[in-house]
Amino acid sequence: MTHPVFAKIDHDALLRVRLDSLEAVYHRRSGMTHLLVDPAPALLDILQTGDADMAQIMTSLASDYEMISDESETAPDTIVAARLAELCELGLISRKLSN
Amino acid sequence: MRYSCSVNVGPARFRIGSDWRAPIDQLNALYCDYPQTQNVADFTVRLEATSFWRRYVRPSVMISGDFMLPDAAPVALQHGLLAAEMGMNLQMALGWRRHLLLHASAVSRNGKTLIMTGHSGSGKSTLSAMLGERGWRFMGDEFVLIDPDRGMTQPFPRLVSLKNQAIDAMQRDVVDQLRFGPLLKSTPKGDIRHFRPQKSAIEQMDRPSEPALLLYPRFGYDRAIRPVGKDESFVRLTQASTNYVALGEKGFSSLTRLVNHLPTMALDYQNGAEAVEMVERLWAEYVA
Repeated sequence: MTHPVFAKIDHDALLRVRLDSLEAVYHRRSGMTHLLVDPAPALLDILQTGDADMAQIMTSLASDYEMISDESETAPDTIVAARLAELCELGLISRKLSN
Repeated sequence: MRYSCSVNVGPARFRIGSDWRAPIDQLNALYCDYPQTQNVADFTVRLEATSFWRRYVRPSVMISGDFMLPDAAPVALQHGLLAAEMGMNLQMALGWRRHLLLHASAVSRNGKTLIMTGHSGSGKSTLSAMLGERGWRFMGDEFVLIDPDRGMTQPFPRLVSLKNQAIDAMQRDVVDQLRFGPLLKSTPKGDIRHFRPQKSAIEQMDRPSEPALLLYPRFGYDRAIRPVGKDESFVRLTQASTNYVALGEKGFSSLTRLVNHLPTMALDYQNGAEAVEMVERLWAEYVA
C-alpha cells in the first residue's frame, strides 16, 4: 500500500526570512512572496532534514510543540495535513507516493 | 511638443513636453535650482490637449508619456503644473527599476535617513517639508528609493506637493515666497501648492544616506507612539511599494533587510509642531 511522503523542493528554491509572527518566503521560480504563520515554517524546517511522511512529521513536531489530541477539526494532525496540502499546492514542498 | 523642458531629480532624468507654454514656464521657475538633463532622458512626460480645439477652448490637459494610465481623466490647464508632477510621479511609479520604490517621504541628518510612510493624508509629506526647514536634509516627499545592493536611500527631492491646511502652515514657516508655485485651487486632490526644497537639499541629491528609523505618522489623532512589528511593517511596505513585485528577489531582499534592521514606530499627532517634537525625541532615542 502506498502513502504520501513529503519533500523539500530544489535546493535554494526558497528564500526565508523570519519577521516576528510571520515568515516571509520568496519562491524563486515563481517570483512570488508567501507569508507563512506557524506551523507552516516548522514543516519547512522538518523537510529540510529529509523526506518525511505524516507520522514522522507529527513525531518531529511533538518534540517542539505541545500537541493536544482530540477528534475535532482542530486536532493537530488535521491542521498539519491541511497545511501540508496548502504548501504542496503553493509549490513550496512536494509530495510523492511511497510503498 | 511645442514647448519642453528637462530636469534631473535625484537619479532620474525627465523631459517634459507640453502643448502650452504656461506649465513649462512654471516648471522652469520652480525647478530653477535643479540640474538640467544633458543626456538622454529616462522618462518623457507629455501634456497634450485632448483634441485640437481643446488647446484653445476650455483647454484641458491629458497626461501621457512613456508610461501612462489609459483611463486617467484630463485636468484643467490651470492645473497644468499638477499634471506635470503627476506625470513625473507616474513614470517613476510604473517605470523605475534601479531602486526599490516606497511611497514615502524621507529626511536625513548626519548621513542617517528617517523614512516616513502612511496613507494619503497622514502628513508624511508636510512633516518632511517642515523637518527640511529645521536642519534636516530633505530627501523627498513622494518616493523613497532604496538601493537594492547596498540598502542605502537615494534622494529624490522633487517639489513638495502641499495640500490644503499644509499650505498655510508652510507659508508661515518659509520666508522666501519665490520657493512656492501658484496656488492650484479645487484640484481633484483639493487645494495644492508646490514648494521647492532648500537649495542645499537639491545640491546634495546625488548623496545617498543610510536608513536609520522608520515611522508611520498619522495626522489628526491624539498623541501616541507605539512600536510596529516587523510582520506588520513588511506587509504595509509591500503595499507602499510600487515596484516590489517587478524587482523580484532584489525587492524581497531589500525590503526584508530594511524591515529587519530599522527601529519602527507608529506616531499619532494633532499638529505639525507636536510631530516635529516627537520625531526629534524618537531620533535622539533610537539613532543619535
